[in-house]
Amino acid sequence: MTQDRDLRLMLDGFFADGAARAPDRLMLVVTDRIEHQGQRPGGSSAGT
Amino acid sequence: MNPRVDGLFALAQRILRDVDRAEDALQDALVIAWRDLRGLRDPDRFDAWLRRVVVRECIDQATRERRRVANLRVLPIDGPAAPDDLLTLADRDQLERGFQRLSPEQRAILVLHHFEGYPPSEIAEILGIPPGTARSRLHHAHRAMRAALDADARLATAGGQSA
Repeated sequence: MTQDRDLRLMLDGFFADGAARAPDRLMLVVTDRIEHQGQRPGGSSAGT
Repeated sequence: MNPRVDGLFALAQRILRDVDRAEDALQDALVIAWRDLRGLRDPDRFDAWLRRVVVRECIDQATRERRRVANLRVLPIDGPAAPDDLLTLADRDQLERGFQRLSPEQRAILVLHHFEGYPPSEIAEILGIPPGTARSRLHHAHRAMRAALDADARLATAGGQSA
């Protein structure tokens, strides 16, 4: 099972299975939270 | 739901292996992204930047969780495997246990490569590390996963022999 060539294929299959959609409430909660959250001025942190 | 948010949620769920923790991590990441948005110098790199914020938050949450929970456990995933899936249930359980043994960053790198399909150069951009470092860390993540699976197989063999 742990042969090098097989491991990559197995990981592809392993990660293919799982959640595909975010819960509907997620953006409602985020929107509510950012209403109380200020923004940092440009040029700080996060990079890119 | 926004397809971009769905994609980020799927990414978080695969790193954290739990829908509730993925939801918490993505909520926190989106609030952080909003807070730091003005720090984004190149708008064309918004997607990579946002992925970086989400992956960092997942790594942070997985690190906190790792400290809190000493024992390994298999977490449920959302949705059953297809009947004609290439992986058997035993393979999937073994992969789940092996994956849980990896460091949070190794988990994130494997998900970015095998689920998102990113080459090391793009993983480097998302994680904010040099491409050579991303290539090396991906190699080490594969090696760690192989070692975790081998250790799991040895445990299973030892358990079978002692039973």
